Amino acid sequence: MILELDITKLLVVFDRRYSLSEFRTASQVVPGSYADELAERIHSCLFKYTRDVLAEYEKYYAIEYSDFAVFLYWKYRVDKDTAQKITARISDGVFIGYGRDSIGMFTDETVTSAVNHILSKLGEKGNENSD
Amino acid sequence: MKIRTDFVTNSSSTSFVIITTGDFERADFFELMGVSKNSPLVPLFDALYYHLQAKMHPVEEYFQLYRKAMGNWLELLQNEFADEVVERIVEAEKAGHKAFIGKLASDDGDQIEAFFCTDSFEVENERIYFNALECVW
Repeated sequence: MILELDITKLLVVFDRRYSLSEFRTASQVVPGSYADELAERIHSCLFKYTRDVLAEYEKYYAIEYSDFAVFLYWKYRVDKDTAQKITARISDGVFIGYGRDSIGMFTDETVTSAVNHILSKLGEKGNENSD
Repeated sequence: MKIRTDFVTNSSSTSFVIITTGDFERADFFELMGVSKNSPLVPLFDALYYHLQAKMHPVEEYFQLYRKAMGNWLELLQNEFADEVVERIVEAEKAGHKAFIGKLASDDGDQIEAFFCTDSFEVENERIYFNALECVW
């Protein structure tokens, strides 16, 4: 799941945090090419430059908010329904990341479908995008 | 990376240059960009290819369309592009290759076009030269 919070800010929820090398391999691009560079930039804004929101919550905010869904709602302006759905996936050990370096095209269906295709090759199950 | 220091707006249209030895073929473009035929990124680069195809014009046509200008194409090119790019276009035309100029927009409602409109890069192989270095906000 990729939520574009605004043009540069993202909240992502994936089964796990994927490495650059496996993301590159699944992208099936020629090493050193422009497409390779683009795959790396997509990976960076989804996995490298995103901070672990659950770890952040547990370390700094658990005492302040009644639960994680409430935290997502107030801190990141995630709507209540989506916040509940994300919270329900915590027990699966998912990676929940927040980043401020979006490349600004993750509400485009072609792009999200391409990203989901890459991740499905890596075994991602819960990568349905919502906007 | 280039940084523009004068007045900057949050929407933009930027020029690109494509020089080809033959027609601007999809397969050649994919090879240039490094996209294998089974790559999940194929639809994204297909979108870029069709945007480019729709918006690229022979040099003379480009200036008539976008600059309402006719006449000394060399001077018009020099006003708009770096010397190296102008030289490449002139040499390409001498060699019988095809030179195109086009524009991508950041505010046409298409995120893929907007992304490539603001990205700055230059790639080439033996069949295509693609200059998007003017792509700066």
